[in-house]
Amino acid sequence: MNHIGQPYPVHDSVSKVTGRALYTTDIVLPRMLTGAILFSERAHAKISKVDTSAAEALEGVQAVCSFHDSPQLIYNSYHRFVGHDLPEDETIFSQEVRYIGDKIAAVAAETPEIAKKALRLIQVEYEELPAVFSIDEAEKEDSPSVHTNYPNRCPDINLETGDIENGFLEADYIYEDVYYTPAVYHAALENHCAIADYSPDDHLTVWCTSQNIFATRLLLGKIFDLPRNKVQVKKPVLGGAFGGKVPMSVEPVAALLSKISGKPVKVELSRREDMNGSSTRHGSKAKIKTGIKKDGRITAQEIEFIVNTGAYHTGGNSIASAICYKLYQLYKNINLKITAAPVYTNTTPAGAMRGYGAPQMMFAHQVQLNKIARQIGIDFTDLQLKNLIEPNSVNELTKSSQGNVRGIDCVIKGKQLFNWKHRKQQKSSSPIKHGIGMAVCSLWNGVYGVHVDGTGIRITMNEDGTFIVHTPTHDMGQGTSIAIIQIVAEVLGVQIDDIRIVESDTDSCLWDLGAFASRGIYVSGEAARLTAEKMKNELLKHAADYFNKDPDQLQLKDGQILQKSDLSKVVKLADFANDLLLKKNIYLEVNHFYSSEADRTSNAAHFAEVEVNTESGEVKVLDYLAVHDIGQVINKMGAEGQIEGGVQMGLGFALSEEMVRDEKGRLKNPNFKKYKMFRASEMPEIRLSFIEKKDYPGPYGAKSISEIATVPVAPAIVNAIVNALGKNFYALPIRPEHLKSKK
Amino acid sequence: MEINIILNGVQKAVEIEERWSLLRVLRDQLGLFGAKGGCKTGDCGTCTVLIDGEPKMSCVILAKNVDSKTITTIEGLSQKNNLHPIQRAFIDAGAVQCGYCTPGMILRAKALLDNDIDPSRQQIREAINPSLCRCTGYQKIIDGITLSSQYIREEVRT
Repeated sequence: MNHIGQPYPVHDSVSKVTGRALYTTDIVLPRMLTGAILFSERAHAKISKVDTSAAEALEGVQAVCSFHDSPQLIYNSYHRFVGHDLPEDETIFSQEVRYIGDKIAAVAAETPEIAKKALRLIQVEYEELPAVFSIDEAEKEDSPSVHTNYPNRCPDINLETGDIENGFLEADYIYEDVYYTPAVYHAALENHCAIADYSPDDHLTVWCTSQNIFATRLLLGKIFDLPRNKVQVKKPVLGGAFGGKVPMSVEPVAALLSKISGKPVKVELSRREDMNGSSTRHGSKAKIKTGIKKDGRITAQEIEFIVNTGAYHTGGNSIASAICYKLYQLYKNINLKITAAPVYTNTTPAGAMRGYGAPQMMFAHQVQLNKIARQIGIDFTDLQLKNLIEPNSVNELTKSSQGNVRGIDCVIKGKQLFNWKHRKQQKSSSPIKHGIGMAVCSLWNGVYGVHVDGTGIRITMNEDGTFIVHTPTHDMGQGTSIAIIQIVAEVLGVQIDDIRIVESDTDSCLWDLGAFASRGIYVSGEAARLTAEKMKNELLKHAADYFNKDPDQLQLKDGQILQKSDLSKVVKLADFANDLLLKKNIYLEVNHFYSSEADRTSNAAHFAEVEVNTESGEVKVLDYLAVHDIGQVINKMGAEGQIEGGVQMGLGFALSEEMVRDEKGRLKNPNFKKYKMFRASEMPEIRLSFIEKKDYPGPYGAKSISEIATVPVAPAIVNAIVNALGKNFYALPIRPEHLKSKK
Repeated sequence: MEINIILNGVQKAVEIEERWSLLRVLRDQLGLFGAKGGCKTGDCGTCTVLIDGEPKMSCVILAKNVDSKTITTIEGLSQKNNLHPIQRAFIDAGAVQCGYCTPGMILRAKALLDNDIDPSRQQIREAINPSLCRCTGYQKIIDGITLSSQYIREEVRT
């Protein structure tokens, strides 16, 4: 293959290194106003009065709105397609605010300074209501209700398979533990931003930091009562997302301000506003009961998983179901009883974030298993190998094949590369302790079996034999665009430079479910491959007349059409395309809509060595190895980059990141000074290895990478710390104060 | 008030308001959007520019305080359409994902390499430490700066 598996930089890297790339935050339109939002300063309150008259009177203010004069449609910001079943509990502005960051009112003004001043002139009277912040508080019977029409605990999702009772009877040991993970922040470096231009003919154009433009179009259409052809949503270059830009955010505010003022309006959140008012990873509480034989075989597990969905439901029930399915895709044990439920609290709504429930589940699960392995005296990797599913085994829930899952290979290869067996824990009396740890995980590619999972791609041939690909697959820096270019170039036998990509514009691209659930390579990549095959067939069909041969006797190679039996019979694509258009009036353009045809999982095993200073509480990651089963690698450079970035996010989850609130529900660390992410000097060198066993129906046997890279990091690190100190941990993040030995 | 600066090699007089940050002046007055406002509290490094050759966070520096100084932004790094070796190296090493941190990272790399053409990976880590990246785990950025050093030396030789 010419392009598949090769390293290529992201398609827009030249514009990014020169500062020419235009992100939403960089776009300036003629007559554009600055929009600003007044956010709630109370965690839970009824707004008895909003007086905007002084703001409206301020010179330079051109639009003011609040719940008094805004569309009242109740929606769910995660709504993806018509028929998507999600509880609806959000409005643009709230009369009852449910978290610090809920929207009360907004203004549009000629300058940022005037907009800020106008916000200060808006008078708000709050009638404070009791609030609740944690899972444990929200579950109490006398707990204040976040929504009067819903209980705090949303309906449970229950799954039970096998024979749970017998499974526990069969066990030699039974362990029961409770694990907690905090809400953490995506921290994409570009804050949420939207520019809206609502024209007098009721056409709405929106440029926004979204990883789901078609869902945003659908929601804006509902809110403003506009058909799809009157709402255009475009995603310019996007400065990171990680799931935080799946839900609609400030788009309807910008649209409303534009509709009122008759001018384009830009709303860009500050970092503090973004941390308070966008979304988080769900905090979680997991009760896990595990039955296990002396030889390390798991006989039964009973799990109750509660996630903190914050003030609004968003995708709460879908993350709860995602959590329920995970273990079936990883371990052989089917004696499983799992209950999962979201609970409401008066905190920032939680939503999709890299791994979608898997980081929470695998932290609890892998840390407990490591504890069990230590206590019953079995090497943790041996315990893994005894329990992981084999390739092509049958999923107990779907009764269909799991595909070419290679979790076992990841563990075996990782053990060898990490020198696991011979890297024994050093027992020392020094305050500096060393430990090694590991963890495994699997992650779904796409959402096959849950709901619709499709992507439409269009390929057009120019009259010089170059191609334009229109894709709705949002590139957020993860490199789906270059992967699609590689795939199309591979099929059409041309160079990377022969293909220009146009992406993420609802007017010019075909429909797509959105950029989440590890669907980029696995679903959109296959959609691109099939569309390119369609273009190839069209081309060869027309070339058949030219050569007077059947299409299957011809091939595309090096920008030419060749006759297989006589390679001297050849025509350049450039000449052929020109004649086709100008002499025969044939414009070659193909569209294809592909829906995922199977559920497949990527798999991984991560290994870490840490040094813990029990005097300072400092943890240094000395060595880190990530082994990934992702089928055929499409772009080596991109795949490596995804894992390296995923490890940075996972290390923060393990050791430093947490949205900390005070007793009033205010964020105590709403900035990058206090919200601690791993910086360059704290990161270890990361070693990588791939298991490249093809798995279909991914394109060329490829599977996805970006989300899974984060999932095993925290449990691998925690297990290394546990092994270093001989002390168990049950909550993230593990901070220095938890590691200092008491004097 | 008016300040006089040498911006990307060109002498410029700029009319500013006293309370404006340098970032605001670069973006809103001068149309240079390469420096980003990722936090505006001096904690993320996306607004990094070079002031008299030193990497600084332009979001927390008042424009009035750079009067008579030399400022280099990412737009001033390439000569017309010829990429600077550091820019080429960032591309070739895969140091760019979403790209929001990239201008700041490249300018930090330039300041580092101007002083020491052969830094260790640890020195590179320290030099880019003030800039956050959420995409790359920094690994390929460090690779990119190491490669930059090679490209610059090759360019000097030819």
